[in-house]
Amino acid sequence: MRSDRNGKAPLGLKIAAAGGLLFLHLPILLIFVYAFTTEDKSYQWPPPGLTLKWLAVTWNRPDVWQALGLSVRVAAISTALALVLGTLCAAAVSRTKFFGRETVSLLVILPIALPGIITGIALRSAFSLADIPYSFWTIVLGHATFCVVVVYNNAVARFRRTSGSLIEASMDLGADGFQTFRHVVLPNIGTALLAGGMLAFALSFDEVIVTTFTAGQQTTLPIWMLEELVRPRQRPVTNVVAMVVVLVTFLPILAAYYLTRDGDRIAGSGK
Amino acid sequence: MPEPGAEATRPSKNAIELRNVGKSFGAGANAFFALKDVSANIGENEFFTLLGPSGCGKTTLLRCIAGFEEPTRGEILLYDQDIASLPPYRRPVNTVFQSYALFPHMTVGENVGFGLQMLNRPRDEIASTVNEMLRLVQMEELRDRRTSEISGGQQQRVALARALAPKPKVLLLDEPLSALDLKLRKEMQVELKRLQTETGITFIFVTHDQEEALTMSDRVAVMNKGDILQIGSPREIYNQPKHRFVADFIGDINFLDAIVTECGVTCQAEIVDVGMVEFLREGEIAVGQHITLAIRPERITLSAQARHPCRIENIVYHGTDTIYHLRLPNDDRMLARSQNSEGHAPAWQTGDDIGWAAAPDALAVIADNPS
Ligand SMILES: Nc1ncnc2c1ncn2[C@@H]1O[C@H](COP(=O)(O)OP(=O)(O)OP(=O)(O)O)[C@@H](O)[C@H]1O
Ligand SMILES: [Mg+2]
Repeated sequence: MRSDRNGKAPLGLKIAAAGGLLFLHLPILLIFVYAFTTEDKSYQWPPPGLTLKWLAVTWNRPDVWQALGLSVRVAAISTALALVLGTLCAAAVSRTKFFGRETVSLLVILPIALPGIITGIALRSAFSLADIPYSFWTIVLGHATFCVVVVYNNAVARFRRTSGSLIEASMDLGADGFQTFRHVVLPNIGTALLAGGMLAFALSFDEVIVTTFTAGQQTTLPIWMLEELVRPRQRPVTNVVAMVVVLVTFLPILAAYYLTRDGDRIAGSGK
Repeated sequence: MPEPGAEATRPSKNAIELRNVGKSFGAGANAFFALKDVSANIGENEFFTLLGPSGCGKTTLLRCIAGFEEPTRGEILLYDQDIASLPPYRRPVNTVFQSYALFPHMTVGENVGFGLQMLNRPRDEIASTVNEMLRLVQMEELRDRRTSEISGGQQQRVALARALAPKPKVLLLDEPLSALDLKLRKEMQVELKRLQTETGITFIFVTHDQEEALTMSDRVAVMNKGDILQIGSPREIYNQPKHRFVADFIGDINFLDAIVTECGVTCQAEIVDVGMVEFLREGEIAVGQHITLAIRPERITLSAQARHPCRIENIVYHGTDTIYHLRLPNDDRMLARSQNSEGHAPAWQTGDDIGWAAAPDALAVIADNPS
């Protein structure tokens, strides 16, 4: 069987594709529209009128700012943590041979395959067992479990493609371990790390399940939204925030996509 | 045992001294010795070649010298200093890798300057050395290109310039020409030899191409299965191979089994059913000893009157020379090669009975037993 690359797609396929895309993206558009509605008690279609006042209202709500600040800080620190741990782990797995290497590689990836609810319960019982009070740091730890995976996956793929002889060549020319990392390894895996970091940030930024288990009184942005939906007060504010979340998470993912696509070419020529 | 010619060309000072170097991979019962017991002295400014079949341990030996592998036993001395404790980046030894291993994120010039940059040399010195090195390998115009934007031969030159730039005491080259096509390869052989003479750096060159080894080297070490079998000038290696493996690995050769009948300044030996041959004395040889003599096809002279009879079984024309497949009275086969002079049709035909002879210095005594 052979697909004809130049031929036009049949009409049925086009309709199916359009339907699929609509199904995926129409609800998101709906969220955007409701951010500008004049009705604030319930979601009414069509919106009785359009207004920009919710932008201002959102801007002046301190609880939004608090939740946003917390989310950004959690995402930034989990990402930073993941960058360090994920890179080290990827380097160890792809650069050296040691007993149980494959197992380590599997164990690192496992948290992302595991349902978030399991990770959440596991962490929660671990925290209470160790008598760790819920705080900012418990959220960060929870998020780091899946952020590490994302960074690790990106880095390990790039490490495998960057030839080991580059590192030996660098050492041979007088660069010690640190200089080799800075001048040879980092430039070669840099885009992969950036991409991994952005994905990790985006994942952490809108994470709900693990957060509900690991946060104490703290409210991250997604949690705040969840709470907000239950009590109907200035409903469109939630939509404005949702719009911001979409933008904040979508842009890094898009950037990560382009970065890794480009990086493939650069690293591939290294042989 | 003095090797005529070898000691005369040997420089007095040793750049590298290998003392009983051994390297094993794995542990216990399934340990594999990639290097068994390698000893050699490599002189200053020497073009020293490691020649051997795939898997014989050439790369492993280079990696031990560069510091990427730690010898399991033995010592490696660089200008009389044991370098075992030095990590690769502290050894004044640079490598041209088989895969070149150029840094893909740097330009040609940045690649060449990398070693000097790591040594914290001033910026203007780096710039001038980079230019000098690129001039040496005739790559000045391509200084600002990316390494992915140059050809294989050019990458090879950049790898060479990069390794030469920090002015190492010893340059290790691991089959640097194997990826090039034949024509470029010949050019680079000449170029490498020129560079070695111009820079005065000791080269340790790895190849499995015997012709390359013979044309470029001051001395050649022939390796097999983790051991150096023989070290000598290209002439010695070719004309006086001491081992059956060395003789066989470097071009065509005939082996003759004989019994020593007399040994004075020159020796006599009898090849059963063929006759007596004369050869030069090499080491300890006793009357009555069974030995193997080796002779290159081109050292055999054929004529109707020559002493030992043989029959021509086949004649193969090769342009510059002709190969005769001969059958001896003891049923052994022998190859003889004679150069074609212009216009001469071969004097003999298949099936002719003629004679062969060999000068005493054309016969080499093979030390080891046939394996
Ligand atoms: N890291 C290693 N672990 C186990 N065995 C190894 C390792 N490196 C090399 N060997 C083995 O040691 C032997 C010598 O390898 P080496 O690379 O030195 O051969 P070589 O002479 O350079 O061959 P080639 O001409 O094919 O490059 C080979 O049999 C190889 O399989
Ligand atoms: Mg090799």
